[in-house]
Amino acid sequence: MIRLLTANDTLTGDVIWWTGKGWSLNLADAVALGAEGDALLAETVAAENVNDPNIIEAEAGTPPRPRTMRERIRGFGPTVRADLARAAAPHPDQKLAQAGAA
Amino acid sequence: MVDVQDSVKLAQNPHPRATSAHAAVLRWRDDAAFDGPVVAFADFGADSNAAAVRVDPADDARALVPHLARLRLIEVSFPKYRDGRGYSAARILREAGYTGELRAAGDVLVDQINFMRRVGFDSFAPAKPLNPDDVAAALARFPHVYQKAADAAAPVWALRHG
Amino acid sequence: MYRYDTYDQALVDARVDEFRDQVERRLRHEITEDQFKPLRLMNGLYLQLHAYMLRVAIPYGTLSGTQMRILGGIARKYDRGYGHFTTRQNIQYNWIKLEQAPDLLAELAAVEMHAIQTSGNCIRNISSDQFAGSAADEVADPRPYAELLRQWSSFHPEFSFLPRKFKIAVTASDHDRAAVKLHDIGLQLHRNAAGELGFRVFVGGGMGRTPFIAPVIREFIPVSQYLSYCEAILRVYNRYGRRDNIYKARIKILVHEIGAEEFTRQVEAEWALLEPLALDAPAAEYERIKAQFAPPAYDAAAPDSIDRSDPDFAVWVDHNIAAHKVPGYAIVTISLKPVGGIPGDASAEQMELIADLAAKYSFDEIRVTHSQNLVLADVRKDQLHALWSALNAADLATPNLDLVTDIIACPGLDYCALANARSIPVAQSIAVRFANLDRQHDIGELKIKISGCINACGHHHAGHIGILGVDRKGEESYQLSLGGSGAEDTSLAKILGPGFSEEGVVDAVEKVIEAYRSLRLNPQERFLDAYRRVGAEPFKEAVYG
Repeated sequence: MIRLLTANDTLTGDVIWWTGKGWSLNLADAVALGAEGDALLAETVAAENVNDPNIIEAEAGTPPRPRTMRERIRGFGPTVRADLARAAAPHPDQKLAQAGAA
Repeated sequence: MVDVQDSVKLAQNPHPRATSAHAAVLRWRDDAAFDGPVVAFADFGADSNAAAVRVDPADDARALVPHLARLRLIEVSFPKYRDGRGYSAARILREAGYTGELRAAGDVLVDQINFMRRVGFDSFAPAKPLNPDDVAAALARFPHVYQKAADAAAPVWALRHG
Repeated sequence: MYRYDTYDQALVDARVDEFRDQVERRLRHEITEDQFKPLRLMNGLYLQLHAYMLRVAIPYGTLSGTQMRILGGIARKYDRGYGHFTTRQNIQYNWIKLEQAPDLLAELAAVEMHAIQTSGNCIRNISSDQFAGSAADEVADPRPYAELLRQWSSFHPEFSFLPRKFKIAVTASDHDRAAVKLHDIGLQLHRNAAGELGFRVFVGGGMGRTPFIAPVIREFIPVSQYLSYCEAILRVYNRYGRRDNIYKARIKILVHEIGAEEFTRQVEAEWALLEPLALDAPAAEYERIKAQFAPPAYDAAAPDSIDRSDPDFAVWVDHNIAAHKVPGYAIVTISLKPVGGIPGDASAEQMELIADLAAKYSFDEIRVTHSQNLVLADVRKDQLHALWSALNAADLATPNLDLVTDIIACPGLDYCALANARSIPVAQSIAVRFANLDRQHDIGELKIKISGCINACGHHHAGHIGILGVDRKGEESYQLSLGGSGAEDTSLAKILGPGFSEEGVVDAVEKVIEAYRSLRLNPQERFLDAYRRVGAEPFKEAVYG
């Protein structure tokens, strides 16, 4: 498991990930945090430039796969709206494909 | 990479934040401010001379009603602005005929000050000083009210039906 | 319906300006997020999983075609082309940007709408019967009273920092379509022995973590005094409701802990002090509002029969039409529950179409139901087929009102920051499993309600079959409950047994339904009635064997 820093953009509300240099809308840009992670989170909380900053766990990969359903939904979009998927990668939890949605 | 610009923009524009523990009291009264001791609610009953009392959120403001004639200042504390019990305390005291100074003290924020005026507060001792222009703007914001409270404002139903 | 006068408009416009200032202060870092959050919440703006979510109030669930058209336009302009109608008769947008929210609110204000008090620990949007004004069984239209409550509660200076949120519902018939006994205050309009109008007052109902059915604290309060009586209830709650524990802060806990009798005594004592202060609006104000809810110009010559020769149309008529008080007219429910769709969601195009259809067929008025459907309340029977054809072409004519696929579901973990599990995919899977209309009609009335967390926005406590999503060691798990009702026979569903996976709960629902089909006395015996007759055991046996 790697650790990622995520938050929501204050202006837009968008889910964002820490890239090491700034924030990205794309989960694939997220960097694995090293030992500096907790201090970085504390700094980010104190600065109040983004909302609800938080460190989450994920399996390494491109993009990384967040451990919890909640974080996968934040990362990839709602599982019930394939058309609104956030990342280029297919949603790992969009198995239903809405059989009857026609 | 997006949105970095916005975050930077935000960080570059910090507004000076007040840090002093006490600010001047804002008063909407013409009489001289009472400067004697303010006794705690629990001690008020035993102190038959007290002319000022502090009411905390859990205190029953209605217990003061028999003593209103000798009270010159009632300070209602707001340890946290989210605790709205002080609004009821204020209105109960005004409804019972109290005309002395009614002060909201503590976590008093500009966005609540209009409501506080409406329930009868006429002085404010905010823990963090308020910008007077912001206060003036907040009090002038809403041209009408929908319901009666402890102020003189006529609700719109009274305006509609003269 | 109610139209703003200059006073109403000035207040809503002032609120938009205030919020614009607050947003700018936040963006300039003059206020912290901790200070800003309650201000944006007071304007219905939450931060959810993906973005800000804006909840727009639809007072007592009534809106005009013009307003609906604007709601559709907002979905397209500020969101991603859709909105979600909620169990409190509101609409939510899921992809709002903070910086655009003031402009959005200004567009709403231009059509007499707002998001005031759709969140926060204040008096929320007043809900009501979606058939109000048209129902054959009401004693009077409850909406003028609901509008008076809306005005009284808006910007209420004493009750904007309550221990917790506060929900009031108003109805006017014995058939409860607004779940009044599951609200903080439920007001049921009725007549006393002297024929006067007044309210039966229920206080302390609710769902959430600790569900309660509200007791009656007063059998009759004259309509001339209900506002001051509500004021007394709110004051007792504001002073004595618990503030030490967010899960025990609703008025239902206060009523439960001190008992309905003692609570009533306190309210009556408070009201005795408040009543002489002339807090109630005068009768003239009620009459002013009532005049705006005057019945539309019904055509007395409208034929009172329906041509049922089109079989698909006839099925829809059988399920989605309710009795109107005027001969020749019908109340139409537009299902927002197409099989496999997202309960309560409507696209911008659907909203605009419904706005057009309301203008054409129902005096330009639309209602939102607490079960997340829409209603056209005044449709001529001889125009039903034309209306149905237009709805059908837009996937809005699913004939499933109150059937197994007419599922209430909260947004759940797909959108909501509070959720522990997804709700929508479960609703979709159940609907797909029971897609066959003949099977749905054979099963009959069956209300499935799904919540993605204990806060119970999906009303699972009031479901004939209730499903609660929980987090079980990092996995979504679903608890099945049976026997709830949010209607006049209010009851709270009871948990059947251990929880299930997403697929497991769909299988379990099917087993429950098959058990019901085999044990019902006759096809007319509803699931709920059968459950009440036989108890949980046969269903436990069927599910857990």
